[in-house]
Amino acid sequence: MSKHLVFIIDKPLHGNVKAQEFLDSILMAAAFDQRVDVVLVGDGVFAMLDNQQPEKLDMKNILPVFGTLSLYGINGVTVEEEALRERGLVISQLHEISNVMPREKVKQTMLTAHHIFSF
Amino acid sequence: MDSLEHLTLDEFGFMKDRTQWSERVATTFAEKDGLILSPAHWEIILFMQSYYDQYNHQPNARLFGQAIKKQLGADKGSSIYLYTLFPDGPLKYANKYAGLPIPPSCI
Repeated sequence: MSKHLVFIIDKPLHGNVKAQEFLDSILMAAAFDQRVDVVLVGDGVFAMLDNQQPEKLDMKNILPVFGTLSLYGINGVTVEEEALRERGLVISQLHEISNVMPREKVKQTMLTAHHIFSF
Repeated sequence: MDSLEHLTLDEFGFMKDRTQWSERVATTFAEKDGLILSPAHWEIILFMQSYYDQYNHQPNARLFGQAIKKQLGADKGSSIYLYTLFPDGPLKYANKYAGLPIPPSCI
């Protein structure tokens, strides 16, 4: 049976391997034909900033990996509108696959989920 | 058969330096494994390379099949089809012949 899974991330993804672990779990859920939403709130929105250069820290650039989500049936990444505003960020600074959603709608998404995974 | 001695390989026999890769290298790798590469093999090998270049990511076996289904057609992403081409493990050997690192799930 297909379930609705929501993955929430509220921490910056750079500087450690958390991002890789996070993406691996999301991709596996999608590969098993589950309905998956990926939502970035709080400092998690920094993950979608364009023009990052993690290679300089000897870290892998994971932004391109987000591009695989659509291959596995996930329609992009949702970013919380308020989190952006609170950090002085605008949509045009984000990677193209992001959708923006107000906090109230993020809550609705979480309410309808069968399972919520938080990273 | 060509020699592969000039290549830098890791402990699993995968290439460490993709700039040394050529179609000839892939063919020679395959011959050593007793495999003649057909256009069907090449389709999968070139797919692996373009996926890696585009997404900076190596899928595990399940995702690999899904990605191929989506981009090359449902029949080509099936395990039966892929194992017919690469009997010892499609994910591992498609990556090896493509000159890519060994996938994390194959160690």
